[in-house]
Amino acid sequence: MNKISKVKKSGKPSATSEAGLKEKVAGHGIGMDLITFEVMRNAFVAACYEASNIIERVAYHPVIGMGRDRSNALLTLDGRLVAHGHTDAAAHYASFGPSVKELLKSIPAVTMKPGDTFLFSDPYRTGSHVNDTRLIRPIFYEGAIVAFSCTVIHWADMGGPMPGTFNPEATTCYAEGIRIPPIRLFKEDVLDEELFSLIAINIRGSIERRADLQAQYEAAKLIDSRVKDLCKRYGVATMHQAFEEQFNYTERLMLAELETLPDGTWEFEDFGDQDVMAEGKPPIRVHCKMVKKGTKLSFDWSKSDPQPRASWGCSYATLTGGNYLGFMICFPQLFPLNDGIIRNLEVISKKGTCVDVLEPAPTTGYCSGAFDKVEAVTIACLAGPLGKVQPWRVYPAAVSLTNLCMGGFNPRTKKNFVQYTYAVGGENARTFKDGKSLIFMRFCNARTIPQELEERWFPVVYTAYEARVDSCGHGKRRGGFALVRELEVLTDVTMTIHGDREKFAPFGLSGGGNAGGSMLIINKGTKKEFNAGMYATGVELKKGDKIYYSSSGGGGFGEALDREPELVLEDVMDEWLSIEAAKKFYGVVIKAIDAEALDYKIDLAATKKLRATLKKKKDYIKEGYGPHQIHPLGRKIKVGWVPTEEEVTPHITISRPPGW
Amino acid sequence: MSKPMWVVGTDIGGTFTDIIGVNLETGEQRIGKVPSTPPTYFDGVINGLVRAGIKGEEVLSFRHGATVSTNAILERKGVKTALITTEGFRDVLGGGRAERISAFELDWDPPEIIIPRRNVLGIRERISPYGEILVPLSEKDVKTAARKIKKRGIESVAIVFMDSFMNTVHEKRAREILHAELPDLDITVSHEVLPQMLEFERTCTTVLNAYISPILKNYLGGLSRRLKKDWNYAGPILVTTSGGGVIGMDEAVKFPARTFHSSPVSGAVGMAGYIGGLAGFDNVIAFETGGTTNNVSMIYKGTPAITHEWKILWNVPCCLPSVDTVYIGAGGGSIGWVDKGKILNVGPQSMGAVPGPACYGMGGDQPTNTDCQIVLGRIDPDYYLGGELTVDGALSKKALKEKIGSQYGWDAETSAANMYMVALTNLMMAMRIQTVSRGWDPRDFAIVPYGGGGAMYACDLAREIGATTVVIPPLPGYASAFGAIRVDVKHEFTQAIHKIEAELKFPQLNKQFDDLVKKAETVLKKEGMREDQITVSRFVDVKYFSQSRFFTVEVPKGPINDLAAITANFMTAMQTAYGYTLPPGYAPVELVNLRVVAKGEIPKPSLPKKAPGGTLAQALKGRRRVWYKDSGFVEASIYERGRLPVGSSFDGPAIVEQPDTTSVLPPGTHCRVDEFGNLIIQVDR
Repeated sequence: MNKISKVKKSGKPSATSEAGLKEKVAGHGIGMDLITFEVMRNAFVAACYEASNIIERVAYHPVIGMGRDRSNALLTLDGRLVAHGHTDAAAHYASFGPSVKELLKSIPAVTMKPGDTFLFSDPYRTGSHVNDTRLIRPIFYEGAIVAFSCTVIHWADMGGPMPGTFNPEATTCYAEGIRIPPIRLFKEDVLDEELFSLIAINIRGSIERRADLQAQYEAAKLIDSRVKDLCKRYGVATMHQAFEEQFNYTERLMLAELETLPDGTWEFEDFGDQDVMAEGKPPIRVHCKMVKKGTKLSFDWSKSDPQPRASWGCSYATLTGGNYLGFMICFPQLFPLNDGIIRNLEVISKKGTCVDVLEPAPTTGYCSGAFDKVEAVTIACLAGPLGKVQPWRVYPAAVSLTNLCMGGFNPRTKKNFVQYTYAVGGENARTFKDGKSLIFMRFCNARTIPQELEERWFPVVYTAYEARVDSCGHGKRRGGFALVRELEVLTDVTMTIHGDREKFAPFGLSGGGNAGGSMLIINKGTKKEFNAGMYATGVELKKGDKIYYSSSGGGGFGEALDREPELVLEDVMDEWLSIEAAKKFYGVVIKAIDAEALDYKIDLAATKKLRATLKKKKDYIKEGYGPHQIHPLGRKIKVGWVPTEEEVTPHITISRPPGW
Repeated sequence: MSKPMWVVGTDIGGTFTDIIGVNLETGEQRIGKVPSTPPTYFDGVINGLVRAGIKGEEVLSFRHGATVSTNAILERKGVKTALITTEGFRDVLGGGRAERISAFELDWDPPEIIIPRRNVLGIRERISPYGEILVPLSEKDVKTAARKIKKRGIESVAIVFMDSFMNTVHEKRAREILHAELPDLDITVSHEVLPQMLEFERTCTTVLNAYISPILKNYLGGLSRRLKKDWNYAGPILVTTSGGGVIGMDEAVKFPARTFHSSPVSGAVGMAGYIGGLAGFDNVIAFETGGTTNNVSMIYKGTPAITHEWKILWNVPCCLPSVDTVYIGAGGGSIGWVDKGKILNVGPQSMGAVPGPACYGMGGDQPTNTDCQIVLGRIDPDYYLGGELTVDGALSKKALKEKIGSQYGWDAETSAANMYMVALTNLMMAMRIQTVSRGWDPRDFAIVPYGGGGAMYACDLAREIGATTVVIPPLPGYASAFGAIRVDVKHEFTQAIHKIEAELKFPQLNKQFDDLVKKAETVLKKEGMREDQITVSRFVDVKYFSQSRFFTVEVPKGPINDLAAITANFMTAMQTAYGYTLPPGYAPVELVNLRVVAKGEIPKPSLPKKAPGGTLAQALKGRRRVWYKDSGFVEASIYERGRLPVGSSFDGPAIVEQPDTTSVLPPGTHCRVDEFGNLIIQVDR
């Protein structure tokens, strides 16, 4: 510890120093100087955030540059997660640790030289899917490895039969894209062109991927240099101590939170729409039993369905990712996710189930499939204990990812293109407030890709970016609304959609309705109309065809019949909600006197009567898993009390970089 | 009557309105600080002008900060506004970019959207990304919209159509129809405000403009009448902009979105940049500390760093050129607190002016940065705001000990020292983001603090980031008003083109540039600039095709016949910022937008030279115990700023007091007073 104050840079005193600040007071539990710890803790996250910024600026594909499908992490020597960036994709987080640990198993650290940087993408070892390539760099200081950086980017194409690599109908990984074992792609900071050419020849748009790789490499170098700065200034030992102190600190925070929760066992389940490659296309069940005792928390997923034939399931690393994400959503004050949390969560699974698939099961659809369900089910399990003490941390399910890929020849650039995009949608209702509309999926703090930008990159023109009326999960507090994106293709393309939540919509809680499901329709409203659904693979579209695709909304909370009629009227005036839906779901009778002047009236007498009738009719909304039904298990989740907005405000945690 | 030779700048703050005037001939400077008078802020302006003793008829140029428009947005006090947009795209504004402010947190909500969905009206029309008409404008829809606007009592309208920057015909026609139906309606069209790609950013900027335009029109109208009637001034009124310049009143009323961020920017560009230059630094970190925020902006090679992605609030971008400023939610009133993991935090919660820091004794029991500075001996409680406000240091101690010390077993002083260190760390991170992540080395910069509190952190910050010099201007509290009188008249005009190399036609490109230049010159001449006062520079936004971000690079003078020079500048910019360029032939270069920046320069007032005389001993008020980061409490010399003689020098530990700020000089620093009264502090000894 005292080493720090001896480390001086160009004669200047170091940040921690001498008198006044030497107190290592027992109370705070940090085994090192408080301020040094604080500086380092911020610096770890800041390095990842800066690296993510670099990627955003340098990368090529709009899904990265504009959409932010990328993440950066700093890890210990033995592959434990220290920090990640503020605006990264949570779907990547849990895979950082396994990726580095698996790298070390294949390639001994002793063979690594400064500047060596490794590419690695094998879903069974690194988690997620092949598109999420990891660039891992050992960080050397004074001849020894002191930490690792891991940079993940979604490469828009990894080869395979379908442009964009998503392939709902794949039954093995060999029908998706190429996997990459840990390879030393940069040898002492020089790109191995031969090795890269092996990848390049197997993927579409390899020139653009070269630029994305460059972005990834610049990010890795940036984290490298930030870590070296810290070592130079504070010493390696201090940095390593700060890693451990950070884990201990987060752990203390986490255990303190867990102590306030009641003990017990909770179970929940959710379903994927279908195994498209199995006979009868059965739904796929994800089940979790959560046991909480004292400060121990374990999640047992072993009763989930066997792995499907089609691309829907996920590997164990991804399961932990979904589980940690669900946990972090319920405890955002613990940001960032790090080993202090990871080592305190037990995640149990059975090999060969849909949440722990075996090689060579396909995985491209993991995110809209298993991962999304694991996240939602984790949160629903935690709703049990949290509902009694922190009811604002109880959340229904929200919009899931809809991966839309198109490939073809771009007449403008005279080159083949791969377009990968998605539709954001409705967030879940909160116990105290409606859900947000048209917001990103919960797994990622990313952004939409602007229409005007996609139109210039790809031969498409958009005709809609608007909310879908009535698509929320109805409830006393309603979920957010789904998004409709409609576009016309200006050239012949091959299209694949890899989504879910068409039949099994995002669920509501405590009597709140499930949301409207996702959908994809070709040439909607014309004679050529064709409902392609969420698993359409390799559809050949002609120039002039139109794609109407829509995400799902967010689940509702509480009975719709208890919603204040004035709030229903507000939604009708804003044209979120139709007058018909107001009547059908909320029992509120609204008359438009002059819609142009926004002159509407609630018929109070008729509303009172209708609500009384509907209340008596036990099943005025059917119990079930479909859009706008009421989830049978979700209905049973109750909260101890419904907090007010004022009560919740002090608990809102904002973790963001300075000036953001 | 003598020739009008005064240039006057004003800045309206939450509490005070500042006036500063300089006589261009004699160099004489007069100041006035009076209470602000919301909502009729111009009363305060007139009071200040009278207090400063400057006569309207002797004024050559009157420059005004645009705090009124900033406040109207922050307080949601614009007019009732509707948005007219392409049918099918009604949620572009409300949906924004679908981001959350913070990972994982679902209980957070973005600021309320300025225009509720019900007043976003879709019109059938569509221009293609290449400017062709895909769906003709439905005039019927526009007339229906006009009816709704009338029935709903809407006062201002923004018209934003998809891809309208490639073909303005639909926006123009829609405006014509609306104007014919509703002649009194204020109308803002997107192709005039921000003719650029990215529908959300363009929509939001245009909507902000429409929302505020009538407010600024009323305010400036009222101000100009009062200036004429009560101050005998009928000359031009120039309004400061976010881009670090001033524009004429007519342009400001049409484009208030150009002014939202003007107050800290004027201080950064007109004051901090200038002061840094006097001390021999053309790279400056301008650092303002106010009551609730710190603002950090950069001047690099004499030019402010400009962003086109500035956000007035979360998810509320205003994408007109703006000096890039990082805000940190920590100022004098920010609170220190201990979280559940027993970590000490500062801000972003603030006690504001009421009840204020604990030392105010107005009911605030939380320790703030100001309390911290008092307990550390840096602020003399008996000389707070020059003694105008009575504060109680015992209350500061009590708050620090109870809220922080009790958690760790610290006394009030240790609590204050640790809290100071946390605040310093946050500031350092912001400065690093502003320099290092741009590829700039902080060691090449001088720090110029302004606002009330900056000079208490500046020297420690300089050491933290490796800067060698801090320059403290004579009147840091008047920086924005003074800055306003030193900035140029400045306009920027853009034209989106979106052409890759193979699609470029140079004659057309040259004509588009010429048109922009003509447009800029016309506006400047209308604002009274002579030919010889006008300088025009041309820029182009360049990127590799399908890269997401572009670089703005300068275009050499004369007609453009090839892309060689532009590409070379682009490669240099890319190399500087990212340390790499793509190998040749990897991807075509794309020209995104043409930009013309036109400046009109009138003589700039200088800082008045400080009268020589006096001795250092006369400036010495005494000595007291003061805490410094690297030494703890030591005896420090306390100087009165106003009496420090020109040319004198002294070493830290020292405190320099003046009514509008306190300067903290740690041990090992060396301070020299230059001929203008600037404190030039070397921190690297």
